[in-house]
Amino acid sequence: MKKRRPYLEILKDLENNHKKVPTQKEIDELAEIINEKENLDINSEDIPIEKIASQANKENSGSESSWL
Amino acid sequence: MAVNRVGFRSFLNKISDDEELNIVIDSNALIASGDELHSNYEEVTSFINQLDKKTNLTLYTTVTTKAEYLDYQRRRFLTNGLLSLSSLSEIQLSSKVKAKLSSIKGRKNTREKGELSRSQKEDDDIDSNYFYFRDSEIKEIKKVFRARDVQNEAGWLKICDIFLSKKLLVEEALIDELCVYLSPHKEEQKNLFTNQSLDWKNATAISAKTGMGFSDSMILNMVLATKIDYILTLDYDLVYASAVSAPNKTVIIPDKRIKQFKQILKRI
Repeated sequence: MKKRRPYLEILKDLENNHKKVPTQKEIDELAEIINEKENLDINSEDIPIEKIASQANKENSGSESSWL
Repeated sequence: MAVNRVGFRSFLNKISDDEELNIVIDSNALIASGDELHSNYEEVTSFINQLDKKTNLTLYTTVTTKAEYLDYQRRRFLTNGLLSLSSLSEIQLSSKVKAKLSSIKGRKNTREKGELSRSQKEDDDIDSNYFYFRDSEIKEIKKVFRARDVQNEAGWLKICDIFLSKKLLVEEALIDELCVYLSPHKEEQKNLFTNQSLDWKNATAISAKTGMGFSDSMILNMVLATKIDYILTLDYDLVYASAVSAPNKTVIIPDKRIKQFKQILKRI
């Protein structure tokens, strides 16, 4: 059987993985999505998935299917 | 009935230098070795490290155990990530999200306090599961992020991307490096198995006999089909079931737990 690295080395890598925090760039990207999208229309009702599907069907009607 | 359990210290004294040592590690021992906040973290990692230095150690486990480990880490990474949101000045959460996070954080803190009080009263270890959100609570939070329309799901997906995805993938790669997954179908493990086909009905029988959880009975059933002599665990249930269903295998447990289990196992 192939010999793995010493346990202590793997353990250190696990500990380092657990300590990882998001970069400033990632936080900024998250802020952009959360602040703009999640706060948008806070009081509006959820749009049922059927309505979204129906809207998508209307938009696609009459046009050639991309599957053809 | 033969005593088939041994404490960490006695086991370390018993094994020879450079011995080829095969041990099956169960989910709670693996989880303890992978969470710095776990009561048994120092004890378990130090034990495995000493074994690794002294012997040619192979840690075996099952894919079920891997799934349990990764699911624990998923809850941990998401809990820590979600709890950190309120401290990030760049993030402005909607009132709906804030309220949900606050309510679930309150529930978790209440449970955590209760567990702390119980562990002090009973002089027992703290169950680290209490430090993290339950799966159902993560689902509740996810719902408030994904409300409204499909596009806005990006909020939750981004949360997973930055707090969970990379860490969980690295975690899996490291666990895959540390452990070998038992399977009678793997050519390189053929000589390890006494029985080339695993009968899952035996796992049901083990579970039925002692009332142990199915994930534990599955690992015990797997061990029983191999020539591997040792199981590393923190779980009283596995010690109990091994005494009944696997007397020819040895269960390795932390020294302080030997005393705790002694009284109950005397009655078997």
